[in-house]
Amino acid sequence: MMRRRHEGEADEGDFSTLQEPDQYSENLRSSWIRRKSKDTEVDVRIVDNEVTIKLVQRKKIDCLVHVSHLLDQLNLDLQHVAGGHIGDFCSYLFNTKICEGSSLYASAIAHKLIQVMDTSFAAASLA
Amino acid sequence: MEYEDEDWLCVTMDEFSLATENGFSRQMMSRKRNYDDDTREYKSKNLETERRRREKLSSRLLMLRSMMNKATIVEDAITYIEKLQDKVQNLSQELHQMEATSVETAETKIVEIDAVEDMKNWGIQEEVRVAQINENKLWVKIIIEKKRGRFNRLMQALNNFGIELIDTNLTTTKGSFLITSCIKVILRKIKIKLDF
Repeated sequence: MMRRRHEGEADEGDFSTLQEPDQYSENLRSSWIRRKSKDTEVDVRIVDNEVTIKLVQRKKIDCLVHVSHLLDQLNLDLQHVAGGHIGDFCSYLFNTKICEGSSLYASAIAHKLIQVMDTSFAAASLA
Repeated sequence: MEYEDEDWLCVTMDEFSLATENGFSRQMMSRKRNYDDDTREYKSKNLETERRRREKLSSRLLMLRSMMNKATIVEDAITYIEKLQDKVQNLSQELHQMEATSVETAETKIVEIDAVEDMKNWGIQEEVRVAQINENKLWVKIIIEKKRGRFNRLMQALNNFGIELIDTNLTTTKGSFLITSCIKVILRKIKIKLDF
């Protein structure tokens, strides 16, 4: 089966190529999106059932706690994480797989990530 | 009753005959008698009618009471049945939720079993290594089973201990997590106790 097409911003995303029915199995879903807020920048790339997320966040908050929690909520199977502190920024790259039976949009992932980061930042500032 | 009615009729006949035969004075006397007789008879009539009314009223009251009781009983029965129906719905919903939970649990168990088998097959064991780099900086290497939520719990535990991860790397191999990180201990007095 072919997954639903991704709905993203006009200038970015959704380059799934159309091919003949004989090569239907080679038609992979591919989409990406970038979202920004004041202190957070998120890139999400989806190829078939693999999701790659790049997260750059200003002001040091231990964001791994919140991101790992969110990935579990979104049914993303964690495969690889790499990143650390660079100056005032935290930069992380996550490789995950979509669990069977669940479907996700890049925009949803990006939106959730930014929301969680901003919320945690607000909480940290209050504390 | 009948007897009394007959008396009344007889009296009337007598008066009639007297009026026709005799003069005015006798008419007056007959009127007086008539008044007295009427008074007595009226009293008895009223008494009887009152008794009848009272009996009717009491019987009607009893009827009303019985009807009220029946209505109340029916209403109570209806309410009880509705409550039972609500309970049925709630319990069925709980069953659905339990089924969903059991399904999730089953899935988790499957994943866990796979991870455990993989690690055993490849001879991988869980371990934690810590090396000091600076006064308050440590390098850690952690190998744990690959389970959903495990990494999240680890992050939460470290965060609670006041440990900040500076440079982190996590990779997945043969059903296990390999986590290497440079960590900074914010509070010096805390002793690190990691139980996996």
